[in-house]
This record gives sequence, C-alpha cells and structure tokens, in this order.
Amino acid sequence: MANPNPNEESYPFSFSDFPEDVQLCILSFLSPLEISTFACTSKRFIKKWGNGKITYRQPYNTLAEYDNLIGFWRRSGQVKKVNSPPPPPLVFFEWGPSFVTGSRVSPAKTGTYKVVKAPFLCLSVMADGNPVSFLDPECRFELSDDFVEFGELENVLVPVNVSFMGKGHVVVEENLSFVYSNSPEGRKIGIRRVSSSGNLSGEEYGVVEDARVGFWGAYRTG
Amino acid sequence: MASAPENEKNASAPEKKTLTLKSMINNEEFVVDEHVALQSVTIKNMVDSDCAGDVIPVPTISGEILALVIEYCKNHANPSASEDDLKKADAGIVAKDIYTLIDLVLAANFLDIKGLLEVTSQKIADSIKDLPHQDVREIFGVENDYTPEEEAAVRAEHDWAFEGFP
Repeated sequence: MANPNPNEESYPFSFSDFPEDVQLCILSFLSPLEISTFACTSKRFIKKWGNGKITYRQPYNTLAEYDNLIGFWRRSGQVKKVNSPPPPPLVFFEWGPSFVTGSRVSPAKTGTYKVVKAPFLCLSVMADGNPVSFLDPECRFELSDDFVEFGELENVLVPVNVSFMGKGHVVVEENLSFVYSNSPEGRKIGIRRVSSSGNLSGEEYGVVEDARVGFWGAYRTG
Repeated sequence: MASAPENEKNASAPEKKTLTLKSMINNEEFVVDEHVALQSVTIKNMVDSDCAGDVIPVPTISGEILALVIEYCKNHANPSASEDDLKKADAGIVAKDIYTLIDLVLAANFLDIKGLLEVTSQKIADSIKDLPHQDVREIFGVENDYTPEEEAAVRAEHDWAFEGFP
C-alpha cells in the first residue's frame, strides 16, 4: 500500500485495483460533470445501460428526484371515508437497496414514543430505465433485496406516477397507462406481499384508503 | 469521612489497557489505548474474538500512514472533542499529497474506519475535481484504452453532464 517509489510521478496502483468499496466511496463525492470526466479516462469505467440504449441522464434524473423525496412529508388532500378514521398524515420516505419506500407513520398506541411504519408506496427503476411506482392501499407489501414475480399482486398494487410540484409538494396519481401483462420489466420489482400481518396488528396498519381516487398529495414538513 | 490513602486509590483505579500496532511495511510499533484502537472495526473484531496478541501486525500499511490513522482515532475517541474540533483535526489529517491520501484511504478501508474512509475519499474527490481527465489518468495510473475518436464519442455522450446539471 505504501508507495515504494515516492519519486515516481505516477502511483504504482491503478484506481481499478482499489477495492470496490473505496472506488465507490471516492466516486460518490463527485458531481455528474466530474464523474463524466472520470469516465473519459478509460473504457473500463464505462458500463452501458440497456445495451447503450439508455442514456445516463435518464436514471440519474430519476434517482436525483427520488433523493429529493427522502425524509418526512405531510399528506394533504385526505380521502374521507365513511366509518373510517383518516389515514395518518405523516409520511416517511427512505432508500432501500434498489428502491425508495414511502411509509405511513403513526403512533404505536402502546403508550410509548414508538411509532408504526407501514410501507404503502414503492418507487424504483425498470430495466428500460423508466421510473416505476406502485401504491399498496393496504400497506401490506414487504420489500426485499430480491426481485420477485408479481403474481397475484397485479390485482392489489396500483401503478402510480409520483411527480414533484416545485420542491415542496409531491403528487401521486394513478398511472392509467401502465400495463402489467404487456410489460415484462414491470413484472419484476422488489416487492413482496406478506401473507400475514407480521408484527403489526390489523389496527396498526392504519386506514385502508381507496387509492384509486387518482390523486394524493403531500408537502415537505419542517 | 477520611480520604483513602493514595496507594489505595491507585490500586482501585482500573488499569488502562493498551494495544501495540505494528506496521509490517517498516516494523514501526505504536502503543495506543485500547479504546482508541477500537475505533477500527477490524481491530475490534480481532479483540472481540480473542485473536489479538500482544502485538497486532498491520500488513500493507506503513508507519507514516498508521501514525495518521492513530491520530484520527485518538481525536474521535476523545469524548470532549466538539464537532468543530473534529472537523478541524480531520482537515489537518487529510491535508496531504494525493499519494498519501490514496494510502490513507486504503488503510481506512482495511481497518474499517468509516469516518476516516469518508473524509479521505472526500478529499481525494476534491483534489481531482478540477483536473482534466488526462491528469486524473496519471494520478490514478489509469491506462488510456481509447482511440481519439472513441474518447470524443464518450464526451459527446456525456455532454449533458457539462450543461450545468446540478
């Protein structure tokens, strides 16, 4: 690791010899312009997406937009349902290994400061580079690292578009143009529905709202 | 109440445990307090699993780099250090030439010291930010495997990155 020939101009190790963790850590501090400059140093640092059909800008823009979601948001435009309390107003977005989840946050009703996080929204990127988002009105899906087949979830998850209005507002609308069956990429995403309620009781799921109203809004807290 | 005799006080005080880290590059040894050395997850794992002897050999890290690592660990093991103090101290540790920084980042990775890995990576990234790709190649020992035409094509493909994208 130490440079045995400090008088030599170039370093005896190549960047590609560095452990991948170190490479990624260094590159994570570079802006798109600097990453691009770096990519021009060698072919080995260029990996084509989608056999070259997907430009880097597309996933970068999507991920930058997803990154803006991270943190707490407050719902607006609540759906009122008869005989049902309104869903909790607080929503929390966080990164998963290959997706972003949005969870409803509500008090755990245990007399403590604990809260219940019920994931109801998943945002990811399809193999063709396009963003894809699903809403689970029942807050029952569980996210894992592995991509699994949708299977019966086709009838449960609602494809949605998540879009920003300015920097402080987000709108979730049903994606009426999404077709599961004709989209092989759409069949695979890291979403798995749990068969039982797991650690959460039915009460703690919070409200099951009708997501197919086509509109849902939130604004940034704080 | 009468105070305890001085020698009794010393006897009851817990003995400060130390560890000796030895650079296997130039055999330099460093005696450090255990809680300082345990900032390294690698060393902590060795200690926790009783794999650490009297002297812990540290392969592939020179004494010069190990001294910097220990300085970082000492600073961050000090509970009275403020965030500002630590920032200033970190800046001093990474105010080095690029080749020392590369050694340091590899050492931080080997010893699994997340904070040092990040602060050093940030400094390396900062130091190549304004450099043309030819200079980045030289610093990182990257062989140019592009033809001039291919290189121009890559730059064209990445034009969007040069358009003031945030």
